[in-house]
Amino acid sequence: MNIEKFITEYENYLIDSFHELWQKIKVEPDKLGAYSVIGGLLSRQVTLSLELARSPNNWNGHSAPLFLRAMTDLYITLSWILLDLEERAKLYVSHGLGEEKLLVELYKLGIEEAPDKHTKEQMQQIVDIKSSWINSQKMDWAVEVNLGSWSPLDYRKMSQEADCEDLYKFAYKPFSQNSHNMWPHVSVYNSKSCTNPLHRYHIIPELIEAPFEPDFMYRSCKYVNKTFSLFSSTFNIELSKMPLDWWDEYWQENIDKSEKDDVTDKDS
Amino acid sequence: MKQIANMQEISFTDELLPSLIWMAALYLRCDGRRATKVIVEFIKDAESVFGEKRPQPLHEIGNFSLLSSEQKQIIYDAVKDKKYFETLLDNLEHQYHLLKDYPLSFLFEEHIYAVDKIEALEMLSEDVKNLLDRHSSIATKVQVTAVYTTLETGRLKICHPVKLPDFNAIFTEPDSDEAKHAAAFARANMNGSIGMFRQDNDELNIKAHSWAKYFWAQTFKLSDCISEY
Repeated sequence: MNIEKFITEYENYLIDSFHELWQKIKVEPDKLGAYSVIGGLLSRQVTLSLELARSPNNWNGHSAPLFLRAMTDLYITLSWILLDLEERAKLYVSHGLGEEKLLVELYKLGIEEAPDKHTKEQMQQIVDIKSSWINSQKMDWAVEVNLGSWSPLDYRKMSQEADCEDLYKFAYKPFSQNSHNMWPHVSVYNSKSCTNPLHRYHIIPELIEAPFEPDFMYRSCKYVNKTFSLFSSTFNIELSKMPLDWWDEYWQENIDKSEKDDVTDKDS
Repeated sequence: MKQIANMQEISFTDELLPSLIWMAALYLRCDGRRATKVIVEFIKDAESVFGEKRPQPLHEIGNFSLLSSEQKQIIYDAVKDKKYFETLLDNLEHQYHLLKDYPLSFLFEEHIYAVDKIEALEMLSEDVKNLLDRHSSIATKVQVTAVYTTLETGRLKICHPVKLPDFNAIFTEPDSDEAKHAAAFARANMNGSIGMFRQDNDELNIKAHSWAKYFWAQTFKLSDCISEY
């Protein structure tokens, strides 16, 4: 497996296909905010896959699920928003602005309590930058802080509405065990059993070298494929080559080639 | 299941295993028939010295730790000349040697022995290992024998319609349905026993002992963690 070649070609393909897809979408001028949201989410999905591809050291059970959890989360969010584009995109943005406004208020409190002038100045800079970001979209006095979730539903219900409950059950949930440091993950990837019966086979911490698993990269490509398909079906557009088609072609070509190289090597 | 009233979570390993460990040693190193005979006769003799005022079931050795020195002396006098006595001590001396405040230590007053500490540790590990899997052959024999002693001492009474399994089946036909019935009966009975004796209850005149906790605290310090791939 020539990883360097794979990364370069995957990167080139994803960047080109992202641009091709977005160019084919006809942005409706009266729904610019909503398109900003879904465009941003599309970009993030591609970025996550690119970043994972660029880091083969992370193609293992410790790190790859951090990416894949974010990618499945994004897919559920996006597919639910697309069912009522304008309203749900507004909810998504409002919640994000509220989160930042709350953070600004927390920094302001921090400034009052900060022990020295230097810290106060640094925190004030953050407040200024964040306030200006909020005000560029909505006057901050009009931004509501909602301490709950951004959508009125939890992710399970969102996935049910958006007809992707299997993804929620069999990908989002298991990857969440990794992202949230839950026992099913920690006990397998960060622990091992002491085999001393006098210690009741208790579980002890261990720094485990998780095996290299290119399958995680395949899954990442699959989630980009699902995301592109969602855009294709929602906006009735077609992409010249879908990510999984690219994947199959790439490996078909390169496996054939490496087999031929092997035969040549043996002959010579 | 945990929503059912009075349902409690119990642990065979944490709470009961240390009290049954002595039986595992006998079953591991004696013929099954001989081990059963030694265990049952010893418990019958030990409990019989109390007459009507019976202590808590002594097949769980943690209950010996609740007895007074005088009571232990009476038991010792009653069993020291029995035929099974030397077999009992020979097979438990490694546990006595390693474990502080071993509940059966009063039996060893006059016993002369020589135990290699490393060998003793290996034997104790083997005793524990065989009970950690509660469905293992040794663990099944131990649990069935524990229930059998409660029948023999008259503690457990079975009402007429309840069909008592054939406990011999676990020795003679361990893979038979009858043996599975006996094993399941014994495990269920042990579970009930854990729940019953885990805390003091003045109304039922029950006193909880701390042998299990003490046992695990000691065994943890006896040797280091073993970690291998």
